[in-house]
Amino acid sequence: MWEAVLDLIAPSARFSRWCPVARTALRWMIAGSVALQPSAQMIHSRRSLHFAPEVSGTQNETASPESKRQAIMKSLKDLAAEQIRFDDAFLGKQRFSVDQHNRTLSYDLRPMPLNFVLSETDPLAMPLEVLIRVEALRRDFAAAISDERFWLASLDRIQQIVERCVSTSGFNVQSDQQRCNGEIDEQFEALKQSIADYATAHGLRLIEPPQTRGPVAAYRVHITIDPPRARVRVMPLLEYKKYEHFKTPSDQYEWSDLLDSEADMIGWYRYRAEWPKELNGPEEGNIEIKKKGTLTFRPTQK
Amino acid sequence: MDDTGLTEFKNVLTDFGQLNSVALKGAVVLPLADIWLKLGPPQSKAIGGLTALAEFLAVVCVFQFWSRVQDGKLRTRMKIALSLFLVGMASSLILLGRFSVSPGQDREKVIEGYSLRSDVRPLINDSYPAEQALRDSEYDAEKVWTKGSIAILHVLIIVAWTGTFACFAIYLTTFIILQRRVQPKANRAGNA
Repeated sequence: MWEAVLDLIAPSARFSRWCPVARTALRWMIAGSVALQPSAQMIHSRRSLHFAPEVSGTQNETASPESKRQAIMKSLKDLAAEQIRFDDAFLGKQRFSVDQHNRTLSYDLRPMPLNFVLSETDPLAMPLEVLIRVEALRRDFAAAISDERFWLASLDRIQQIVERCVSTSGFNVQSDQQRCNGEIDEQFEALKQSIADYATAHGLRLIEPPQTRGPVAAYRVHITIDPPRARVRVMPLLEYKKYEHFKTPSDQYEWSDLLDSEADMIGWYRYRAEWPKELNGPEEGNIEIKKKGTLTFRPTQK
Repeated sequence: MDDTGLTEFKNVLTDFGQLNSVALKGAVVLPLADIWLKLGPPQSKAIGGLTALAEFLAVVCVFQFWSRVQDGKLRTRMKIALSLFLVGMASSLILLGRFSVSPGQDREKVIEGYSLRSDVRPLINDSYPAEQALRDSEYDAEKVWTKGSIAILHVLIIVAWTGTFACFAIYLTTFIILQRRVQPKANRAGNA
């Protein structure tokens, strides 16, 4: 039965192309949340990409909207906390750090694309993304500047806005959603200012957080893996040429996973598609992305 | 009220019927077109704004400080400005053509460097030029060249680009001042 549940969830988890472990963990957590909480269940119709815990069975008919909302919030908070515990590389990546030796401070308050969390159209994707961000920041602030208190109030305020705005169907109607998004953005802006003030007060130099990609705006590419039974990985072609030139063992190559989803890419890449043996096995080649569109991976015919 | 250079500047700007007024306003606004055309150095929004501001300052300074300069001196300065504009335009085009790559439609140009990174240098040869390495690195110049060499070339190109437009503004403004001096004389001759 749970295999069926996981199969239903699978297309909804279109997050990291870099972190398949994180993706798998979040899928399992969502499934676990369904299995362990009698008051919550996954609703999927026609394999739609929505995470919608609701009060089930007889409780569903009698529970008040407030108790439903609280159940949803609890599920979201638990998921966010679990995500931080299991994934410190992608959704739960480090967002704040202080280097006392070099007297520098870096932070990243930017949101993750919603389709990396749940389906983009899922009304709970936004609150879950915000809560994951808040939890990651809470963890990093507590580790780096536990004596300070400015961040506690800011993060609590953001969490309160999320709690207030989440209804039984995710964020409320569109006008409310816009208002809530605006309030959340305002709070993150205020937090950014507080961090800058803290840095100034302690003589720390603000530095850019490390970026995974270059400064040029890439093209949004829709990835299709057909049939979807291959692991497709890519790396910039220059990196591949460097590995070859310096004779790096192939098991030390740093590939990025491409999911059956969307990715931002530009220029030439080396790809490796690991098809099953009956579909000719692994296949490698070079691709160039020079406009937005769809990138389809299919095994070469015998 | 004294007829200062800035009064003349104001008169030119408010004289909507005159071609020179339109030309001057157009010259100041022209660099902003690069926000959409992306022909100049990156970042086009910042550089477009900076160039327009440099032109505006050049126009104001010329009106303020050169409006009472003798015709002969003004003609010489106008020729110098024109020469610098032509040299600057040629330099900008050569620098942009030699040291920038366009990643594709609607994308900002990427400025190259002149000194390759030590881990990339062994890969570069006639069959694998540095420009191809840039295409192979998601157009991240810092993965191919040293940061310092990229920064120096970027500054050089920005200075050449901004200076070129400033020289054009100076040339146009001195031309307008000279024309406005000629017109009253011509009008007086016509009335006589």
